[in-house]
Amino acid sequence: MNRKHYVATAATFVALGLVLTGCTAAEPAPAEDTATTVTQLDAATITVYTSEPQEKIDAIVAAYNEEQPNVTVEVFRAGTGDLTARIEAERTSGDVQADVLLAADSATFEAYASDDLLLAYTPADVESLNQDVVDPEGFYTGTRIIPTVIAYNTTAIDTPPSSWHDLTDSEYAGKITMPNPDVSGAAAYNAAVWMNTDDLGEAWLEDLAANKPVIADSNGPVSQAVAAGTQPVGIVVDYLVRELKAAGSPIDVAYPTEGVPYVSQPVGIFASTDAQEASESFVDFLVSEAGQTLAVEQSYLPVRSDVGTPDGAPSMDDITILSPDLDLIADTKTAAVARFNELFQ
Amino acid sequence: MSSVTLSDVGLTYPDGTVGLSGIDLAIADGEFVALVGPSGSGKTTLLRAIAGFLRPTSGSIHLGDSLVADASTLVAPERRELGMVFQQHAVWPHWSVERNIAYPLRLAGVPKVERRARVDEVMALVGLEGFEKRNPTTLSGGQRQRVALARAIVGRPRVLLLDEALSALDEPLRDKLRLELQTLTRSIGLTVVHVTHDRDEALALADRVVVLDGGRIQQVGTPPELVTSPVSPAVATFLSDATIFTGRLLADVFSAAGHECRVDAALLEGGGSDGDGSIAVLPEDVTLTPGAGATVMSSLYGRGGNDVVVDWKGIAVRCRVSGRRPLAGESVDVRIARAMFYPSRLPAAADAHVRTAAGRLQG
Amino acid sequence: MSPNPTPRVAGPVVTDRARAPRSPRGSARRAGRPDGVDAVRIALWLVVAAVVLLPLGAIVWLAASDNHLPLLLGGDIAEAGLNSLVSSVSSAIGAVVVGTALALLLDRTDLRGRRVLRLFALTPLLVPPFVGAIAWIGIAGPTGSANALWTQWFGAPLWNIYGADGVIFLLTVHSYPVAYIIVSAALRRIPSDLEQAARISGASAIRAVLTITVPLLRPAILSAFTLVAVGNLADFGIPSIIGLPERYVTLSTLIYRYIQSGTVESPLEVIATIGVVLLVVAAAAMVIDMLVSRSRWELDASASSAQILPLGVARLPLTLVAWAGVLAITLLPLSALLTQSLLPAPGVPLAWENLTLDNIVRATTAPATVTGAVNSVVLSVLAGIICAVIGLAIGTLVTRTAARSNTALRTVAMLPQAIPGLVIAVGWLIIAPRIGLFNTPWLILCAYVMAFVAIVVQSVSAPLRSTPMTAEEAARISGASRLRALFDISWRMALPAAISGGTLVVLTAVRELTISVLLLAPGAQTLGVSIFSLQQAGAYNAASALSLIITLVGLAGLGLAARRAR
Repeated sequence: MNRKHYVATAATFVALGLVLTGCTAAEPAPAEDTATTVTQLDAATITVYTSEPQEKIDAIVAAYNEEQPNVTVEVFRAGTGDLTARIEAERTSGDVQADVLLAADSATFEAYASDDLLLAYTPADVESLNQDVVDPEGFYTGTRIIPTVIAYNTTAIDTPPSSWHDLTDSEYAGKITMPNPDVSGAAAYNAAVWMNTDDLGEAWLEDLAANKPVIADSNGPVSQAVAAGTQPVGIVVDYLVRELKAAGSPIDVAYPTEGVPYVSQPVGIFASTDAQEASESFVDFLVSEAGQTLAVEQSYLPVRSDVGTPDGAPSMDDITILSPDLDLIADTKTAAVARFNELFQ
Repeated sequence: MSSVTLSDVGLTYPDGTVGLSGIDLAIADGEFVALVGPSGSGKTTLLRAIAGFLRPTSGSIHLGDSLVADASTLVAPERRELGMVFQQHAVWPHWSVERNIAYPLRLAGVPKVERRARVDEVMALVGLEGFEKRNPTTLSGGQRQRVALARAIVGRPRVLLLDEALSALDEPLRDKLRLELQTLTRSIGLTVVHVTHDRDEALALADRVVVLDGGRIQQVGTPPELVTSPVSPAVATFLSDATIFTGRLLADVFSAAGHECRVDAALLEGGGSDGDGSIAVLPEDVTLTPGAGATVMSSLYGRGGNDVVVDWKGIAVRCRVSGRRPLAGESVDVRIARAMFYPSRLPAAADAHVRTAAGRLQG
Repeated sequence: MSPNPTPRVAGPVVTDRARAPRSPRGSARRAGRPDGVDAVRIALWLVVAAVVLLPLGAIVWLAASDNHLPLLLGGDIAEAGLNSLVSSVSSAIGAVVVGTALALLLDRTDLRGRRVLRLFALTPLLVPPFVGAIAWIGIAGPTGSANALWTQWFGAPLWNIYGADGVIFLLTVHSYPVAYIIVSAALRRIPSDLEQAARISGASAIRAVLTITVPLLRPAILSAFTLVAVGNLADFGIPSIIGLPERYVTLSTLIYRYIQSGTVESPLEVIATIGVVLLVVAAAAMVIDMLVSRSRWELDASASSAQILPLGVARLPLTLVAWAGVLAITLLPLSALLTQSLLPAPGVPLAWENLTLDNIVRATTAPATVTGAVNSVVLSVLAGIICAVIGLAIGTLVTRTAARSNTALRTVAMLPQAIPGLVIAVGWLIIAPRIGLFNTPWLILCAYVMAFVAIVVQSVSAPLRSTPMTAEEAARISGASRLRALFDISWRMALPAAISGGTLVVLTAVRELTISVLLLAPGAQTLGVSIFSLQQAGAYNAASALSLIITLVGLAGLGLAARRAR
């Protein structure tokens, strides 16, 4: 009878639900017995708030779990602006729920450090790292070098712009796209850097605004727009351009002559963490040789010198870098973003 | 099996309408009682009060010796050990025939073997052998009603209640089931209360018939009593389609008021003293002869006699005549062979209900 | 004869105290002791109060705690509110026009291929709105295929879907099937005798339809309009994907932004105020709908089937137009999803050698997707089961017993249908910290149960209402207590309807976005949120790949369910 069909369907659904619940519970840990120099920790769970793109953080967690199969990493991914808002909300209603923060720029971390939210921790092997990205007080450590460059669509543009000043040329009116500093940490950081660079400053920002660039939410949509040709010129982080170019998109990088601002995607541990050992091991992994090799595979410029650089990336010595005073940036960031919003949005 | 006793049972709905009023009825153990009456007379209300779905506002109901309903007690239907068959069988479509019938036994905790035996026994009684595993939705109306009947009697109920149980069936089937019902219930000596709006059915099946109207019992009696000696014009009209004439009995002759109808007192029953009143004339007691007094309005052929309605100077008279069937439009003379006289001091309620089966209200 | 109401066959079982006449002495010992049914009733009231009334109450309480109304009237919120209103009303009008035209064309004329076209026309129902948005960007986005072609031919893009016009267009596309279903059901109930009488009286076929049938459809049209408008008022996926790039903000995206980025102080209170306003609008719409449906004309059922209106000369052109329009709306987006998923990166031209299955493979095996899919399935199956049980219990109780509280119970259970999913999520967000469910997936489960139990109550009500009361009375005479009779008979009979209602809940929950995006927590994302995040992060190819897969799975699932139901 029909009833039997319905009961069967219901039973299937229930069984399916139970099986899948079972699947979620049992994380298939890769049974690797590669010789590691890291002691295996006991079972623990850490929550990581990060602005890394989803695919990349998944790969990082998978690689980390090969070293530490007993530690479960729960990831919450959002733009840096959204992350800080969430952390703010959690602070007011209680404790911050995250153990580890891996987000765009050091200015954010400076702010948290001065509020005593972070735990001081010096990762193992810290001497092998690029010391520019290591916080002297030990509250955070940079994990990649991410410069912001000019990207352009190779089918639409013959002579690419070669400097920040080029972008204020009227030929690029309506053709530029850039990310929203409210969402992207890198964009917020860059706004402050541009404001404080003598060569550029507020005057340059006003000229750029006159070209009416399209403000996309974050770097992802910006790179997609340039590659698709919607806006043939974009201000965006370099690794996205490299990846798209490798996948076949008609997109390329131009390093502006005045120099590129960069963020170091720092990692820090919250003082309210209840899984300190596990969090520290995660930080260690990120800056270890294994972690940095993975970063290079993911098209990032590393913070160690012994793991090479991604294909198609220039070496750090070949490009001009804007290295402003971090304290100055931290102090002026909010004002810079506010001014940016006034001009552009 | 047990008796059913209703003592001064009354039921008023919350909005004030009267469902039942002053019902006194004693049904003997093993008796087949039919409840008849026009729509809204309270027969179904009475049945459902016995069943326990309605609560009387006054009076008491006993099943055998046990009190099941009065002002302070109400025994729930499931504890009254009754059987009931509904007009629309109410056979459950999601269970097989066997499961339907076995339900009361299952609830009573009867062990499986005995259950099986009793279900088989009852299915044989109603003529449904072999239908155990059938899906009720594939059965005909008559078969479903048999399933309902089997389910109602399998639990060996004290009383069997039939709520217009045959009304939804077509005529030949109804006829057949009627006979089976009779045989079956008489053979196991079941007390039956049968609600029906079919007068002939009630008269045919019942030991006693209860005529209800307006929530009151109009008359209780055996079928012959009801037909030959109806206690009021209303009963006569309802049960037998009698024609009513109002007038005056004076000096051994009843004269209809404003009409040429005259009946000798000798032909009247209940004609004691002189005075105003009405007579009820049964269709069987009317003879038609060729003449000029009345015109035939309609004429239907019938097995037991032709059903003829005649317009006699403004009054429609219902007649049953055997022999030659007069045709519509013919002129005939009407002769009354017998009538029942009811003096006017009868309660006004009875007079107000006077009406002919096919014609105008008189009086 | 004194008028006696004949006890209705489908009337209540009157041992219930609410109907039993009271004795003059009042406190006689009641024969109706509290029994199993009353216990179940109380239990259900508790459940319903916790699941429905608590979050709604929280919203109202929070909104009332501080007066934010002035905030509502200024700036952002006012603009977003206006946008929401404009987009929902316009799309509702569009949906009703298209739905009515389709209903008339497909049910009353001799258009070629009507039956197949009907199936195609309903497909937008099976695609979650945000997936539709992603797909349409691939057609009419700035670099979509249609625009690319147009630019090739005419030098400039045809139409940029981003912005207000795109939002309205997409809302219309995704809600016209609902309007169509409502109007065509009403159309079927209009006896064709009415039209035929007009024809005999001298009206031409078209005139008869326009002057007789269409006015009779007015209640259905109005009902469809309010339903669609309220539904679209709180849609999140389409305005966020299509509207935000052009800074077209609606209330739903504004609330999302407030929660995500904390751009206002005490965001929860502001959101609660907005929620109350939305509630009031939804309630007003429900009241209007009820008033209109009460004044429905009683139409006698007609024995003859509907008369087909021959289209004559207009048949071929109308057929072509209808087919072209429906196919464009249903197949174009699917093909756009397909091409987007098969291309490795944006800007890569569409050529055979460039197609790759990489995106699809990566999208389906990415841990985030797997988590999202697992979460979605688990949550929706659980929601389906819980809703089926509770909905069946409520439906059985309110249709098969008589109590003054029945209407109230039913109304409260059905209330969330009229409330935008947004408001539901906000309510749960507010009470979450207090009940310790903050940041857990069980919060999403609670919100799902609140939002979808009405589906099951609705689907079991119809079969339950059409069974006469004698089915239970027969059980009671046979010896079953009130609760046992309810359970053995009504409950069991309505079980198939409950299971199909539960299945519908599962299928709806597994693809929804609005609730789960607001109640997002680490590790508790659903499939809808996975796709949405991919889109937001700019991974359009991956988002398209996932969208394609869940569309196909959804289509297959619903096709299977439909076949089984036959």
